[in-house]
Amino acid sequence: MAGLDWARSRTQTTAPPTVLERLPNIDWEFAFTVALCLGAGTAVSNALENGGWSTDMPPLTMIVITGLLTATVLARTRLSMFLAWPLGIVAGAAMVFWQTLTLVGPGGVEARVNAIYTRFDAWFGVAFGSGVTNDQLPFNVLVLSLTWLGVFLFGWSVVRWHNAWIGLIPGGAVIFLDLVLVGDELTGTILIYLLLGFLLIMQTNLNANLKRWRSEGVEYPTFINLSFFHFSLWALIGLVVSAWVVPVGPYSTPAPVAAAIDGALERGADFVRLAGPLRSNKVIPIHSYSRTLTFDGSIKLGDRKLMAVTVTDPRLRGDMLLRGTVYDDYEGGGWRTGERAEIEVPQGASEQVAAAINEQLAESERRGTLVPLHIEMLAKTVAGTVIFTPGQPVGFDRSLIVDVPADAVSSTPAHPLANPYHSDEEIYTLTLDEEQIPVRVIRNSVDMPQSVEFVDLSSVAFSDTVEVDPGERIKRYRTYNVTGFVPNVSADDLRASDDEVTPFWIDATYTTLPVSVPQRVRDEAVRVVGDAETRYDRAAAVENFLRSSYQVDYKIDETPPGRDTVDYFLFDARRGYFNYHASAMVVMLRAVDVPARLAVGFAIQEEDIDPETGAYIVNDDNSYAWTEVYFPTYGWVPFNPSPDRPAVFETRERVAGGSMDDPLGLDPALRDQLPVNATEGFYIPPEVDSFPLQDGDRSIGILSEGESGYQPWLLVAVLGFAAAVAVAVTVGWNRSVMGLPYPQQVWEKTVRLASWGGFKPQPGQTPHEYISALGKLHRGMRDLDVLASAYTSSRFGKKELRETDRERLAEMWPVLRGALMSGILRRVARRSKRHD
Amino acid sequence: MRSLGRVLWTVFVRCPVAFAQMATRNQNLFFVIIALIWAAVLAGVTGHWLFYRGAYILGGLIPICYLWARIHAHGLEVEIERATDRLQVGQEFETRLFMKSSSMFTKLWLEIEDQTNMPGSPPKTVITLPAKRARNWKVRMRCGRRGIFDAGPIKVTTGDPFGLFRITRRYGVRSRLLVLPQPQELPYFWAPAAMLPGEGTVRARTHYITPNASGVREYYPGDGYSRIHWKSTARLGRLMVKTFEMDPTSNIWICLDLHRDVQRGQGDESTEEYGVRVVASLANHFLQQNRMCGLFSHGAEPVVLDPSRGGEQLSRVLESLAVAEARGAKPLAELLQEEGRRIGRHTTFIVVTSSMNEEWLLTLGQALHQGARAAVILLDADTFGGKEQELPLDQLGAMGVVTYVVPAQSDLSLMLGPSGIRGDSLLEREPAGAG
Repeated sequence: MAGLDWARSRTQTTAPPTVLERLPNIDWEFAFTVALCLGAGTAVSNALENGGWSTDMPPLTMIVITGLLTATVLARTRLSMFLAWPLGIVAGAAMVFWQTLTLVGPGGVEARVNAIYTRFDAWFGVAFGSGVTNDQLPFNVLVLSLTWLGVFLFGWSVVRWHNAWIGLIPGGAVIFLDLVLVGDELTGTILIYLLLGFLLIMQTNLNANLKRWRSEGVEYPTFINLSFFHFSLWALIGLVVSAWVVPVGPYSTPAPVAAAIDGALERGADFVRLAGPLRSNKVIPIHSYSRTLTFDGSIKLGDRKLMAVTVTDPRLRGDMLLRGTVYDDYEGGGWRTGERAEIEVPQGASEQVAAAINEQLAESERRGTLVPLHIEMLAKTVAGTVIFTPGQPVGFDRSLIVDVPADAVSSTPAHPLANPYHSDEEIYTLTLDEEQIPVRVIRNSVDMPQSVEFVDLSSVAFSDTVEVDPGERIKRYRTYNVTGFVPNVSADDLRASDDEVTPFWIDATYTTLPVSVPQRVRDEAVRVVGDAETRYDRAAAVENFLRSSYQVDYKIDETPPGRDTVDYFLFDARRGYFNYHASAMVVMLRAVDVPARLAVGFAIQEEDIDPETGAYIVNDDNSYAWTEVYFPTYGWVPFNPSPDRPAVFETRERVAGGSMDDPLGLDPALRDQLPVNATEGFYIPPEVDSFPLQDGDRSIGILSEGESGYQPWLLVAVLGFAAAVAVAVTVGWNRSVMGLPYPQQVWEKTVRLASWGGFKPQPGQTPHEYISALGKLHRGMRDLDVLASAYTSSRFGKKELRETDRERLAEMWPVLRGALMSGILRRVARRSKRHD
Repeated sequence: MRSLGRVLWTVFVRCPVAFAQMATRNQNLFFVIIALIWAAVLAGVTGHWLFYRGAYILGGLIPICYLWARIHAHGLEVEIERATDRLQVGQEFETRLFMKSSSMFTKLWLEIEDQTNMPGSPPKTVITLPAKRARNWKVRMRCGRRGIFDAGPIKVTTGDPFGLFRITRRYGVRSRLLVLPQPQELPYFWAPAAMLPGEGTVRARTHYITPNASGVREYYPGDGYSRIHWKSTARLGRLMVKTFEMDPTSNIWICLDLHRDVQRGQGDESTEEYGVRVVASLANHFLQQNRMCGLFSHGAEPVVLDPSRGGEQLSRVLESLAVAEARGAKPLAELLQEEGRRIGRHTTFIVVTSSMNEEWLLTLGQALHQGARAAVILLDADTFGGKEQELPLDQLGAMGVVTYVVPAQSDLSLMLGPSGIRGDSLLEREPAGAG
């Protein structure tokens, strides 16, 4: 990095040098600082805007610019912080209020203010209750306010305190959050932010020095800012490129930390219900499998490959619904999961569960198919937070946590013989029957067992697992094995099940609706079911009604604030997609006292099978939602009210199509070989309990997201950078001796290299003496006298070099250069050894 | 065991203390280290690539900046030339610096400071020094106050552009600089003449050659040949030289009151500084007229300079005034009593004081009774921030003492003239320079 011409410019007094002189209190260093602030700030705001969190989000960039300018102007004045900050907050409040007025839509100021009041009032009602809002206004106002405060603090700290970190760290955190939710598309933004951020740190440091120098009346180079910028920029580029080249560590998150993060995320996800329909431009799974599901309006499902699902029983094929979780409580603006109890299932314990189910089913007339799946995660996705199963899960290859409805958990006093020294397992054995699946032991302060909580399989139709939690998110390229049970039930059986008793808690939980659901929705449900008497007929009527009357459309408006979403879908929008159709069916069935709930996951069909691997490739656009209706004896049966996919998946095919023997669309030749015989009870393949990880699976690898290696373009960029540096060094090296006669060029280079190797010419030493001493140092070198002679005659005799001497020099130079460079390396090694 | 203790002491005490000091001294390095720790922890905890890359950048920034700062500080030669070590107030102190970089990297910023304790901002500049280049810096610093000051060494501070590291090097040695007070011309000053020639002579030997040869003495190496008295040499058989006496004239004694209790004001606007300036101007005034002028005062150190004439006497007076400090414990009355033996009938006696105490008037009166003539320059303490007191003008007038009153922020050349004379003694004034 050679010096710049301006670097040795005359020192001038500190007055601003340009036309900016005419502007009071503004110098170009200040303008440059503000420009860097604006660059860093708008990088963050741009990332947020491009994330597309909200359709109504006002331009954040404008807030960033006005906030920063306000802060810098106030910080530039002599106002005390205690006066300037309230002024800044007042200005920010005015700005946010103005933006809020534009957000609430048309009308006069008074009408808009009233609208703001009404919407915030409704939002607070939801916030202090347990509902889900579909109004984005409070979220937008919150984002605007935080943005203003953040950038104001940023600008103030940069200008007044000469400290950029106070603003850069929160900005970085925002980018990170956006990155986590939006994805790697932010790499460019991050690079810009890093570059501008570190330049800003440089600039604030320089500004602090400039301020001190000015106050002391010290002269400094006029263009010192440019010199700083020039050198820092190149250093930063080199540093950032290096950081991007070095591989990231292949470390996995420690389990306790992962659990803590998941817990925090779960708690954070609960607040999503207050944010309205958030989304991002990143193509992400529409379902987050968290405790809240919001209606998102327009969506773009995308085609990212999420999972590869292989049916490990080669005789099975067909369409499947892979359920991730279910939602119990409808809230007008979205869904929430109900209260749940967690059952820790250790590895291998699924055999016990299956045996209990098996025994229960053996006594009934139910039939079904066991579908063993091998699922590989192809992307880091929220879909890794749950285990997907076809039907009810009955077998796993790992220890995990099974969620069941809290109302399904019963309690019984512990066995009288149970004492504090008994383990939980021993108490379960003493206290519970085989049909009772243990949840936990309640002990008193001295560890005396008091009671045992359990799920009674005799009281429910089936082991009602609403969600299977793998503990920690299943990462990319990891696999798991799961077996689901898909019951075979005919329509007549379902109709006949009305005679059986539905557990009270199921009726209580799954037939209730919030009072906010308009009456016309209930009336419409009554009209649609007409005189259908059985649950099945009512469900089928609603399903048919929705499939025939409501088209599928992924580009729909969001539900207007304050409106019930199902009401809006049924009577206004009249189009939507699976979330809307399935929700409408659940609400309509509940309105006519049919227990129903919303299930979400993936719908996969035969066309999703990869011909090469035979696995179903699950993409984002396989995301799906459907309705589950409870039937006594048979449990939850799926219905699909969305017309974009078949109404009948595995279960319905057996019912509606009457093909009960071919539930998964099997080849007739394979049908007889099905290892399922409902009349003989459950069949669990031996591999169900302990699916071993296959050695060839990439799941053995522990690579995490993002470290997937060196991308070719990056490698090319690095090599290109290195080549550019090499070229620059070579050019600079040759340019430094350009214009000299050849012997002098060689001499100059020799002296330089020898000096770097610690062998400088001594004062008074002649070229011949020097080269002779050098020759003693490098004993392998010969004919060095030629160089000294050629140099002397060229330098002092002004003689042209003879061609033969030139050739000898040319031959000698590469060898000499190598020897001298090895001398430099030896010197460096000696020094480091001495330091050690 | 001892080495283990030293290691533990270093790890648990010295390092944290050093880190805390560094954090308070250099907030950028502190933030970088904190951010690096956070990024490393988060990278390990979350495995997210952003934290890894952030940690790499922050971790790389520290050694790069350290090397950068070292490169800036390394390979710098500084040569210092100072013009003189004696100056007067108002003159400029000039230093020439020649800085040469032997480094192959540009030094982005070098803050160069000539360390001095002279009042005012120390001379400082910031330069950019390209690789293998040299720069000159000529420092001109106006001497604003008398005294002895330090000059040097040259402090060069530099660092990396991000403000993580700062390195200071010092070049040269500390030298002393003497700043003499600046005398002012007193064209209108008048002091009463003492006993004129004929009324009494002053017999005082001098090394000057005058028309008044007073005797002979033995030759000492270094004596000029022109002083040899050949007749005495021939008579005594060894080299003898003549000795001389000054012309008959009256002596002028200046007494500067540096008693700490009577001083008022701060800095340049203090009775101390005004007193020094008055005395310097008076000495200059009389010595320019080739009068015999002496000085006595009792500040931090007692000073008695016997009356003499010429430029060397002026230098002696100014040097003693340059380091004079009003920290004396001896009141003016005592000082006059002690040094009164020096005052004879052929002496003009000038007192410079800000004291309103009437005790010294008695002592002054005794001197006047011995036939000396006196003038008093009163520094008006009221105007220098002292409490209001009545000036003893009447008493001085009654004693026939010419009294000048010098208030703060006044022009000495005017105030030590007719416009500064107070009291009845004005009637006794004689033509200027008649003393």
